Amino acid sequence: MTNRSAALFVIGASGVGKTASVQALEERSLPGVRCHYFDSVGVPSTDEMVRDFGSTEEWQAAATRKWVERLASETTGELAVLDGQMRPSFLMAALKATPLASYRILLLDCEPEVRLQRLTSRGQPDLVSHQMDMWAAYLRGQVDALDLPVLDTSTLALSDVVEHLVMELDQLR
Amino acid sequence: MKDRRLEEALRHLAPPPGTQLWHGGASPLGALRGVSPQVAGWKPYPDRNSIWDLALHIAYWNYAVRRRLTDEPSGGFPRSPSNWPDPPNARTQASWKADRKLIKESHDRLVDALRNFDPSRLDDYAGSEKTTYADLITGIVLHDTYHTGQIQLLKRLAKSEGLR
Repeated sequence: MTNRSAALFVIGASGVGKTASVQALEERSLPGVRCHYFDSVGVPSTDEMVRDFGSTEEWQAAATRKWVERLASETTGELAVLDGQMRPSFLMAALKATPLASYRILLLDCEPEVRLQRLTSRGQPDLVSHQMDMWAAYLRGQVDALDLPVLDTSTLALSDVVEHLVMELDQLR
Repeated sequence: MKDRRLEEALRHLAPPPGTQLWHGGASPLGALRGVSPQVAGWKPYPDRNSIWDLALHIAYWNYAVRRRLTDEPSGGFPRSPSNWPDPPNARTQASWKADRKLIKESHDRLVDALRNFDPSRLDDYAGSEKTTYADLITGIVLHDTYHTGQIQLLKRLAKSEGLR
């Protein structure tokens, strides 16, 4: 049976402004909107992921399935917003297994130089790497393959990004 | 002389056997392992690319970048058109095997070109454009990664459609 839940998945690599914008959205306390953060369930160590799931990738797939199941069961009549570095491939598979009444997937992206500046200024220079650029490309590839919306936050103020999230939510109402 | 940019590119394009890439996922060649011709030829929508299309596109650009790194003349890629070569009409086990061989050869030759590339040329312009060899190398790694993400996506979608 299809449930009445609706969700906006805000995805992207580190430094694109996902968590900052979802937190700012949450502070607006919009009626019927609940914000969630993927990593809030705890992220095991790489060794634990490999031991329990076979690979880090399979842990991510399983965690994404769990989140979608949770949103389907807990958010009836509400709009859920989930912030995380979820791959569209895992999200689509999870949504096929546990359909929501409606959903949107929005990729936040930014220029590598902007990511570098943001991660450095927030004290996470360890995340500034060629690998993060690769991860951004990987996510962008999947999003483009599905023609999903992309918001380039490189030159946007946080308030502009939040306004965009509100518009995305309006499309789910 | 070693260069960090070249080493980084090689680590992504040719990860040592038994190691996973940073995201726990596959390299382009690894992503194609075990893919059947049916799955390779499947498209989620008629106007979208199949894994087969993407694999030949990756092979073409591996060739095109290698050619620029090694100053080879153009016209050496055995399939056409350029950029997005057409998959064969007969999408059989044999034709998929042949195309996977082409993709592997194109990949391996690019890796060889990188291993033999003189690091002192990395900041030189590659041809007349305002693109350096370092830009080209970073670009091909990002390009492979971008489309590998798409191949992984299509595999998941095909599986959820019951294709094997």
